[in-house]
Amino acid sequence: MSVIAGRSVRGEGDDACLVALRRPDGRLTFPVPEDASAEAELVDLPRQGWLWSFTVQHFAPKAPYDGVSADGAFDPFIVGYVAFDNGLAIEGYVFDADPANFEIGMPMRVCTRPYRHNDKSAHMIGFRPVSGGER
Amino acid sequence: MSDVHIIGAGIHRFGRTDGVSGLGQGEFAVREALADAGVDWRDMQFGFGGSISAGNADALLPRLGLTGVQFINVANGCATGGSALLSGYWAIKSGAFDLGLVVGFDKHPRGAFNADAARYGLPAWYGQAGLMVTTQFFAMKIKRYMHAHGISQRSLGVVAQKAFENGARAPHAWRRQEVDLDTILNSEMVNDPLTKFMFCAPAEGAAALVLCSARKLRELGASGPRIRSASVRTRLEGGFEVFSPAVAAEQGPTPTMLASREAYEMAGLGPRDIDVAQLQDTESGAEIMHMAENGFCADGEQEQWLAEDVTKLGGKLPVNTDGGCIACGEPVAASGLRQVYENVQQLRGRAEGCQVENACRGYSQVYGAPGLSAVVILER
Repeated sequence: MSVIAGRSVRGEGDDACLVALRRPDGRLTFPVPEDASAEAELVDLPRQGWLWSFTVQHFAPKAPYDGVSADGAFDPFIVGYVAFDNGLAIEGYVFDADPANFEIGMPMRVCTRPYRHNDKSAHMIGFRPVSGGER
Repeated sequence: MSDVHIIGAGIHRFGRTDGVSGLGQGEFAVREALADAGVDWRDMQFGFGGSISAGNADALLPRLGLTGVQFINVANGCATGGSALLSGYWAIKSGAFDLGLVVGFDKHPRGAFNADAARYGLPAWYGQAGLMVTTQFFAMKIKRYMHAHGISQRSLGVVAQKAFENGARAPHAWRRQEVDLDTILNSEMVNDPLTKFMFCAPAEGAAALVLCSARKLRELGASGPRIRSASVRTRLEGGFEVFSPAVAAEQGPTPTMLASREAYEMAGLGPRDIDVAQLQDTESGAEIMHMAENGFCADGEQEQWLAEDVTKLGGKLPVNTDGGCIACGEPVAASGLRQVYENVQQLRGRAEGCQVENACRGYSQVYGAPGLSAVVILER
């Protein structure tokens, strides 16, 4: 299993943590650019925030999207932004959730999950609603 | 500095024209603009042109005549047409030129745009995960806006309904049939809260304008609206724009607000001075948000404006009188110039079917990837 977000994520599943690049002037950049040097300063982002906005992707995006299976099957997915105390809102998938029960402002936690139809070999970064006992 | 006038405007019908290349549509629009101005291609001292998917604009030259004219290809995302116009505007305003052409044309494949992550400086995985999809951005922006300012789902439908109503009357529009509100609201969901009929589609088309100095205008005995101001502005740090994996949770001014303020300031005018407006309506939510971002109403006030038909033909401020992008489709490089074309028709009193009575000042605003906006204000 691998997570497709390169150096912008550490760990996987519920242990995942998003990572940003800190520029010399202090600004945080997410995602970490693919050509960032090995010495670039990387910092962990908070693991918990709140839902900033979201939508459901009802149609299969064109290539380079690779979530469609060989026989053309596609699972609609939820995209959203989650805002953190540091002032950033980060875009990712929203997992384990029914958009009918969504509310902007609801608490969310960073995670990774499989995102391709019928294929658990690759994870995408995202968020899931915080469950009762976590906060 | 010289005043700049638009003395000729041409358009190739938007939509799908099988058998005519994007370049061919560009040539058609240029010839129409030249004929409208009563000038010859050989009189042109400069040209600025753009196309995203239909070749180099410079490829028009062998068709129009290789006169040695200064011609510059403009590529500036969704503001390509607006940027071509801005370039032509300053070329004349500076006093260096008297007469020139701006043109934009395009012919996109069917279906949503698929953008290349690397071109936008983003890692490949962002595209791989299916996030290089412009419709997601528009959906999430209006979703947040509806939550913050009490805009209803119904209002999204009303904007699209108006677009088709106006498109049905506009000769150059693509969708020329009215669609009822229920059909719009109940059509296939594309990206919540936006349904299929609320979105514009990539399309084909071309628009061209002949620009002229005040001095040359008198010499030619020509006429046409004056460009009071033109502005192209890009996004600020942390801005919530197309293809933004990270944004600031507290948003500052959008590129549209920046371009709008600059254009009003240059012109010495305000939103109340405008009689007709063409606002970027990639989908109906964009038109609603752009009504406020361009200063025409306060955030949230759109709900009442739409209920009172303020932006319909016959209202206090008709918006997207030719049906906008929703009815015309979006050939990216031509779209911003189509807005200006429509305003020229309005100010010259020849917008058959969708004429705003006594329109004196026309406002246009185009927005798009990767987060830029162009505003043009014209005066009769």
